[in-house]
Amino acid sequence: MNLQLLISGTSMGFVYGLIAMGMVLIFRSVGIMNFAQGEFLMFGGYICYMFNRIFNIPIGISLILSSLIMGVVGAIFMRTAYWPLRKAQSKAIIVSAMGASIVLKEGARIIWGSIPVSMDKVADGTAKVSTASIQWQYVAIIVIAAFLMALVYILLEKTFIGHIMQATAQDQYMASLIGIPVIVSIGLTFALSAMITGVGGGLLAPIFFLNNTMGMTSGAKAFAAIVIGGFGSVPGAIIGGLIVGLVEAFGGAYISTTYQLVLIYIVLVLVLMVRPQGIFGDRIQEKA
Amino acid sequence: MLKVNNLVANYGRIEALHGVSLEVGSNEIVALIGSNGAGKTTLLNSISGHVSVNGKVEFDGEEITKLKAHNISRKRLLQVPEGRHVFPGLSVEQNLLVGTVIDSGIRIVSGNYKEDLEMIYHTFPRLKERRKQLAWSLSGGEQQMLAIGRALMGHPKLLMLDEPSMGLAPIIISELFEKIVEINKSGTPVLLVEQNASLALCVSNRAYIIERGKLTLSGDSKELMKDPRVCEAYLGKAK
Repeated sequence: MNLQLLISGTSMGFVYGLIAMGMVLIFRSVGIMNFAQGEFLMFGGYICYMFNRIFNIPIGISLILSSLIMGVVGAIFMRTAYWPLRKAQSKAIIVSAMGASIVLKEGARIIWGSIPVSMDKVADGTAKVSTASIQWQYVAIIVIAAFLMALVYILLEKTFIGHIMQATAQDQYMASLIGIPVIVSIGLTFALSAMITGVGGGLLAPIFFLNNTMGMTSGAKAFAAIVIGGFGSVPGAIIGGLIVGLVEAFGGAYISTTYQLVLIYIVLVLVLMVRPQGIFGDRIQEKA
Repeated sequence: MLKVNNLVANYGRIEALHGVSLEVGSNEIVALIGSNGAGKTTLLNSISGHVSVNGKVEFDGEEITKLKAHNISRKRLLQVPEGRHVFPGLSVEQNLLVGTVIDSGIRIVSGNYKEDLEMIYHTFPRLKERRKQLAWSLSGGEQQMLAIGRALMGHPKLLMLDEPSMGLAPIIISELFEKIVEINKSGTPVLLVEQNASLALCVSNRAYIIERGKLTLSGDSKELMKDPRVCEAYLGKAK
């Protein structure tokens, strides 16, 4: 086992997990797969870059600020791309999400240009463990992403606001009958989803450079993670993300970097052959 | 308490209610009886703001006709819809607590509702036994109790119950209706929608009969029970 690959694969897996988790939150809330989720990653990364490199704010604070702004972006996305179409066919909403993804992608190009940019690492340097050299940034990604995932879990399961969001996701009609402002509750879910995904962009940028087309590929990988993990399941999104990250790292090192994405989809197909509902998927798709 | 005046409801171009007027006073149980498709649920959904309407709905001295659904609920006019609609992925206790959202909106912690919970558990002891269970795992009767209990957590000024007896065993139905009478005795007026006419007439003070989107008869429940038209159409007794 190659420790270096294990750590980098795991940390990429956590980033995919953040995107996938964000997608699952929206899916459970409104029943739509958000194909603009990868763009949240890219856009969050750029906002973080803006704070860090243009305004020279330390990376830790930049990450927090970019996450907050992504919350607003998520709420605006919900209000403009989802809410006006909420009673339309889901196809219409999927197309409008794709439209929004173009807006985000091209918006980022207009604001920040199309030259790939980088920013500070949360943790600099490398650690030597016998023959492996591990970038501290990878470790930081794992720690921060795991922390965010735990935070989301606590928010949804242990707080009143989380129960309100779950209730709205499970039954919008009933939610409004007991006095929940559905638009606020769904807006909060979108905001939360964009916040956690956006942080992923800020964490990835120092390793891979940011560019405005990165959303598409990472979104596709996160989608694979969701299907592997089980559609609609939050733990599934995390486990699926990890599988995708590890397959990518080990496949890239031992087989071929060109075929990384192909390898991911081969694993996806294999998992679906054995468990069509995904690892954590229920046979009954209840929005619970 | 509730005054509905000449309410017209449309689904697209189809008119579902053709000018309905009814009233529910404080401390009454008023039954709304009608067959499938007569417009009972539409009427409740119109009052609670889920169907756009023409006409006038007044609640507690205020006009609420054009308010948004969640703002109507916030006036403590609470509807328990047909089919119960518990939140399946939340526990019994979480379902009940979510019912307190009308107190001060969306907040981080629910606050202290021990007494209210105890009150609900006193009325429906079975909910207490199952308070940590997820709501989907409850039986139909328990889900109905939970749905009513959740509405009670919001201290309704008027409770609108839509077909509470639907799909329940007779023994559960009678238990449930005893509770409904009990809830009413403790000061909550109830607008009860039922297909089970004899049951509804038994527990209510007054009743309205709705047919094809129009109220056709109304009056004291005891007298309606003897009315030959009601007997023939709803109670299955020909005179």
